[in-house]
Amino acid sequence: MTGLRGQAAIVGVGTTPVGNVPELNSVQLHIEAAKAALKDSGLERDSIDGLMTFNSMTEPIPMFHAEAIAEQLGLSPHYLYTGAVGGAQPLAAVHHAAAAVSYDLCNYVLIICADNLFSGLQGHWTRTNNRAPEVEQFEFPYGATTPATYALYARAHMAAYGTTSEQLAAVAVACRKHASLRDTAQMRTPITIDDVLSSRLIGDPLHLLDCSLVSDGGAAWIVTKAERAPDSAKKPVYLLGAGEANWHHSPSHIRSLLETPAKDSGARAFAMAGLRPSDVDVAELYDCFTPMPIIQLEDLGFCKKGEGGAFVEGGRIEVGGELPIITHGGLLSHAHPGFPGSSFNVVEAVRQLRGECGAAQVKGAEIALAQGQGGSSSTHTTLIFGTEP
Amino acid sequence: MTRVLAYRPNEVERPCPKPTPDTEEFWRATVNGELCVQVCGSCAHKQYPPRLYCEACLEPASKSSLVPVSGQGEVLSFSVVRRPPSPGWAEHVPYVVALVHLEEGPQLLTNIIEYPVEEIAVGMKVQLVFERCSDDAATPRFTADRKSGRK
Repeated sequence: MTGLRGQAAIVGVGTTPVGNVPELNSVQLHIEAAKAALKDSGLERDSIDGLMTFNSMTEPIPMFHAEAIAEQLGLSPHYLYTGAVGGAQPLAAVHHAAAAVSYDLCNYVLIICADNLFSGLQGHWTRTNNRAPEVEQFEFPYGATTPATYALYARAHMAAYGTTSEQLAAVAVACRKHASLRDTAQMRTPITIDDVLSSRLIGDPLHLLDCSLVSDGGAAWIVTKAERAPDSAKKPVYLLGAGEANWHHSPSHIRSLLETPAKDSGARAFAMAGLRPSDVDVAELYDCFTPMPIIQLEDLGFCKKGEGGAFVEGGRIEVGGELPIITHGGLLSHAHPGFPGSSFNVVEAVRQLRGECGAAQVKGAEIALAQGQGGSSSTHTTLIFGTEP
Repeated sequence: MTRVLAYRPNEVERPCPKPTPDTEEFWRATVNGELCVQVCGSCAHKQYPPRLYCEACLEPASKSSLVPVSGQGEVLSFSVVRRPPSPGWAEHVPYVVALVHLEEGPQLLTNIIEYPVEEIAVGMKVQLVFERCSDDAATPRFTADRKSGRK
């Protein structure tokens, strides 16, 4: 039990509508998410003295994103940060904000993650906006789409451990089932394993329904020091463990196709929390493509290496099962607005621990894990939350 | 509110590498049929692609040299791309993206070409082939290593 354990809490969460939201641009999604989080917290806007944002992919504000958002929100923060480690960032921000409030650098950090990938971005531009010369010269000529890059992990897992397409599909089926229990998700019609397997191949072995969505949407939340948390309107949710890990940037430097940095981020988070995987009631994993939650279940210690495929079979990962995962529907069925994608994992973990999830509520949930991942599974962040500090 | 969207480069063709001063020597070798890895003169670390510093000892690239590899490698994993990333790729699908481990150590992202996609497997031995795409560059790609047989 070390470090930041129990030092900080999330005291307000807010989300925007997701999916196709053409009436809101990227900045508007930020403002709407922030307003919802402030309302949920019961805090006055003036109490926010820290702000963390992440630049938009569709409507970037070069150099000064957090400043621009602060101005639009009428804030004058003295702790300000624009971050960028891809899909791991929303969770990394919680880690950094927790450190800031625990050392009294500021009192309340507002974290906002939002973008309009569905209505504001053309598909082929998502890859070409990475202008690093190394990427341009040594990756672009090979047409390694994002699904194809993640398919490398899927194929390697299948070859090494006998993981099947049916097992990958079970992840998509569970996510859709959870999405169908909520009125917030982009895709809510239940699907079967056969539906996944008969959807068209995008990058073998990944079918269309093994791939996440493209969405508009955003989320925001407020981090404060644990001793200040009871002042908020709703039940605070405490950060018990946090861990980050980065292993590579370019695919030529992927260290392993069988293990991911989740192994290190998870070990750090569990060590800080003084908890074990068996203590976790609900795990909001990162599901950009169906193989990744399977690999995370192994790397985070929920099962042995190579057993992730069998673990997800038979409803074990569904609400009511042994370890419910991705209870809002995730990137596969709830929404994937790009870098902000994992922000909904944070919000869902908080809502599960508050008992607000209706038909998707994990009964008696006291410990929730959230996972974020960026790049080509380059960077991972693991957070562990609890109902008590 | 009127929405102003970001500028989107209309890059629809399969790109050919445009050498920069830092990579000119590497790409010149490809035109001559040689794939090079960068070997550090201080610590002998081999890396790909060539970079401004050695990842192992941080000595600058001026201390390293480009050394041709045998062209033999092994498929670590692969995917068959069915959906083109942009309209200019439509004529190329299905194509195979692979992570190939070179005999000399480094690995690279590449394509497997001139081989039936349904016969490609993890662990397959592959051999370098170049595709010339401009006066200045030929892209390293791989096909089945005939000497080792299929697989």
